[in-house]
Amino acid sequence: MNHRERFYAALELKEPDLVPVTDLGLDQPIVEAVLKRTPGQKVGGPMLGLMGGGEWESSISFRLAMVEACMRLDFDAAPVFSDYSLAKKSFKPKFIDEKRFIDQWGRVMQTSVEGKTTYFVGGTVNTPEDLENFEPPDGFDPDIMEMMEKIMKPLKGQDIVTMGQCHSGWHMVFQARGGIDKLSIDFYKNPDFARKFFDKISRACVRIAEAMVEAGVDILFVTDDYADNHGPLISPKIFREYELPCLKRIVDVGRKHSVPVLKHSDGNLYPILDDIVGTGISGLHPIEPGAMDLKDVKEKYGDRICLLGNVDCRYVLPYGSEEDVRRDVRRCIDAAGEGGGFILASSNSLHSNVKVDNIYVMVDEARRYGKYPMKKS
Amino acid sequence: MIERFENSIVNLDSEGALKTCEEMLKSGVPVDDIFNAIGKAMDIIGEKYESNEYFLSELIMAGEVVKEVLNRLERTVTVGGRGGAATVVLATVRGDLHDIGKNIVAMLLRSSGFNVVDLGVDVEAKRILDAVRENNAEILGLSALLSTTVHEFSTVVDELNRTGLRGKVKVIVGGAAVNEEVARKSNVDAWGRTAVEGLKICKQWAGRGVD
Repeated sequence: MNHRERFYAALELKEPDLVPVTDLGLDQPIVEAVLKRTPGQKVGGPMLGLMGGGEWESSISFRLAMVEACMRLDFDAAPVFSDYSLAKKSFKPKFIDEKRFIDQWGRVMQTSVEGKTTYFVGGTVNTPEDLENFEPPDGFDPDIMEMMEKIMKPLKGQDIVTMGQCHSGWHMVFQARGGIDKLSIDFYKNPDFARKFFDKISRACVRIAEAMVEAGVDILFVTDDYADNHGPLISPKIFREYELPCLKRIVDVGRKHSVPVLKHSDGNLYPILDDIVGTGISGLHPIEPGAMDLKDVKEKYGDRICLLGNVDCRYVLPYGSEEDVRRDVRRCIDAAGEGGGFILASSNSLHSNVKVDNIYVMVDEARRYGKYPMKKS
Repeated sequence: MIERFENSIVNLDSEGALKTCEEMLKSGVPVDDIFNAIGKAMDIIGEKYESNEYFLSELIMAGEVVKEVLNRLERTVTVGGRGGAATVVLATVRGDLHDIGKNIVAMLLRSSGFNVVDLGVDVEAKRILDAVRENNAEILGLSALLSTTVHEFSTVVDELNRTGLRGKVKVIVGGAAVNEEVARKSNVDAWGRTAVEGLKICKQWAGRGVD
């Protein structure tokens, strides 16, 4: 099988020849280390182009470099877009001070050169008037469409599955609002404001998903995080009222165009997992180790959705030995590989502290150990 | 009336809690009884969180309700440090900018009567030590989400040892990057899997003064 056939077989819950491999994202130092060069992005500190606020051209070259790195790593699929980095040509991040800037989603971001990443630290939508004036990016903006076309053009006909990372609502709402604490209080004290906020962001997210599909992406990957290790960050009742319809709208975009929709969320999703699976998603990522059990999720949901993950990127990939990585890959394949419907990836993303050699080991072990048909575990 | 007040907090009804608080003050209910009721309500909320009846959104809203009640009470009595409650210094360690978990811990501790000195995120060891010393803190809570920043726990503990403060302060750590092994290697006194667990440990340490 080629890469595309392998990935799609797993998504359709069939057995491919091998367990497919991909990842949700690769931080810039990983891309640089794999390609052994610096891919164009040099905006006022690392990662700005990836996380928003980067220069338009450098954002394109970085995404293309990321796809090239995925191919070099022998991945079957690659993240080609992220709604974080879709911006107009004229967009310039508004710097509040040396380290902090406002991105195109109204989020206040802080660059940590030492940590080689950019963090969300606050929001800009504090009042109904702010919400009225808030303009999230439009997926069909000519500059954004051009950006996506420029990324997709060199990939046409290539043997790699292209994935567009987008959001559905919750994540962008709480970040533009300035934090989960503020939004949680809104749910109880200003529900109309919260409803309008979700509605506005959801409409923007749907247009971005539609634009990604129009640009030719194979997969939509919805990346709002819903949970921590303890459980969902918001109650299932609030989740069902505010966020679930937003997720369903993105799944419906995928269905309309026969584009599979994968759902990413860290943490323990058990209390809302029936709801999430019920939207019609094709796959779930990463079934976070320590918070959920991959084998258990495979048993309960493996006949309905493909599972992606869940090689530990907190300790094993950054600090583990070669044997630690191989053992963890085998753990994942033993838990979820049988019968197909499993795609190997890290338990979140290939962040800047992951040891690059360990990524090669992860792929090597997946190719070596993840051969179908598998013996029953 | 006290029961109604407790229920209002547990049910996240800020209007009801404030209204009943007002009535209690007018009727001469002792302020200590009101504080005890807040403590009991927060215990119930913590239990509901641990049993997955309440989630982070409800913990935050409960903190908001209690904050409003405390603001009202402050007009009548001195709230800070009531009943000899312990002082806790909180910080997310150097190199780490995550603060959701730490903020929840701060809110829970304040709601339970602790005097909290929150130093924010990305805090260097020296600033943490200064705060422990200046505030005579009995408890130091350190947070880290990133596995690349947990080594800062040891840096802080080493500094506490070096400056002779270690014997005077209990150290608790928490955050997504923390587990049993991290806590052991960092030579801290405890680690909290959740904010509610952290609060329980702090209450045990404080012993008196905190319901």
